[in-house]
Amino acid sequence: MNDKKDKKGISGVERAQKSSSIKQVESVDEVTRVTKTERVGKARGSSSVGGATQKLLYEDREKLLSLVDEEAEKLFEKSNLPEGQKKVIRDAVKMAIDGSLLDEEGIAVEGKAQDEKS
Amino acid sequence: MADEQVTSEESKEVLSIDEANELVEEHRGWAESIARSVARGWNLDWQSDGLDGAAMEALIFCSRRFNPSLGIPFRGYARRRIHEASTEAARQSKGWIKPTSASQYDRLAKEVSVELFDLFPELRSGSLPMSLDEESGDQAMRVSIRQLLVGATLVTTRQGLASSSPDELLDTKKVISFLAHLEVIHQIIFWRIYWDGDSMRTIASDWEMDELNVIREHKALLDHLQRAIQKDKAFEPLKVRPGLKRVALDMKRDKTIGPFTKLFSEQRT
Repeated sequence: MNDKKDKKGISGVERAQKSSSIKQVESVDEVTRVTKTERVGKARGSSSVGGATQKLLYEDREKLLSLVDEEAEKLFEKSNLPEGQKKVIRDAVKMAIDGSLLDEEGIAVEGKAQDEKS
Repeated sequence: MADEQVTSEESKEVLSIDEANELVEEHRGWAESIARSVARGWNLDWQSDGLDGAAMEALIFCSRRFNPSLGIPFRGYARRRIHEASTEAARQSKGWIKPTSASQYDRLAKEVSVELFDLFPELRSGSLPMSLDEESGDQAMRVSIRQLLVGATLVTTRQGLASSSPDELLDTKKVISFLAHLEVIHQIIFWRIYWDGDSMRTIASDWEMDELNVIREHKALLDHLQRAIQKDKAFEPLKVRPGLKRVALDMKRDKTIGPFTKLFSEQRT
């Protein structure tokens, strides 16, 4: 039921705005036939989620190990961690990085496989 | 190994034994280099400590299960498994177990580095962990290394707490105090990853969210903790990202106490 009590006052009617030209309807392309869905393969790319990863290269070995020392020094400069703990931390990171770097032969094999593929 | 075709649960497009053996021959040198790199990291001998055999077994295992129709290159599929097998062989080897002239710190460092491989699995694939920001080159390397250093700091903190030997007890109070200043949800993330050994995938699954939320939060937390350690003071707690707000609010509502808050107050009494 139309209850006039609840109606709010009607404000003035706004001036009609000029209409813009109607865009020409473009032709509708033929609807392509839905093809059968292929099985979804596993996602490629790095195992690290959240962006591209930075490959460890053997040629960067010395640089990487010395960066560990540099960054550890910055990190622990004002820290009261005992020297023993700092050494363990630093060495552990170096071991992990060193244990992930393929030597020259491994890189050569990887490179050969890449070349054969391209 | 049975002399028959191995079938995959996902597809019938599998390698024949001959094709699998060809893969093994083609990648033998590469698998050996993975074993050598693991040995080098821990100052072991890759042959006398048995890493060569473990790497070959893993290579053969992978060749039998490799499914080329999935579009993943064999090396991408196999590298992590070969690295894991080599790591495990290293830990069982005489070179690892026998007491040598190496200091106790060397032994502790080896144990911590093993954990780093689990915390940052991209290392096994030959990559550095990436930060959230778009650095490149040297700067990217430094950011990655800082993440590893902070991760190792957390591991040593936990090990120090668990150590029963006063000689091995490492000063953990400062790091615990930094952790106790974090939001409850952040404390729980660190606790579950570094103390309970949960994967980020498990945490995300428990919280019914995308794994990426937890991964990104973890990286942000490592950056935050790195700054605290560097400045030797706790900062304002890191803000919780939108993806985790729901869970964080639930925890606040339930008045959940952060595990490091609890630990820190226990240490002070």
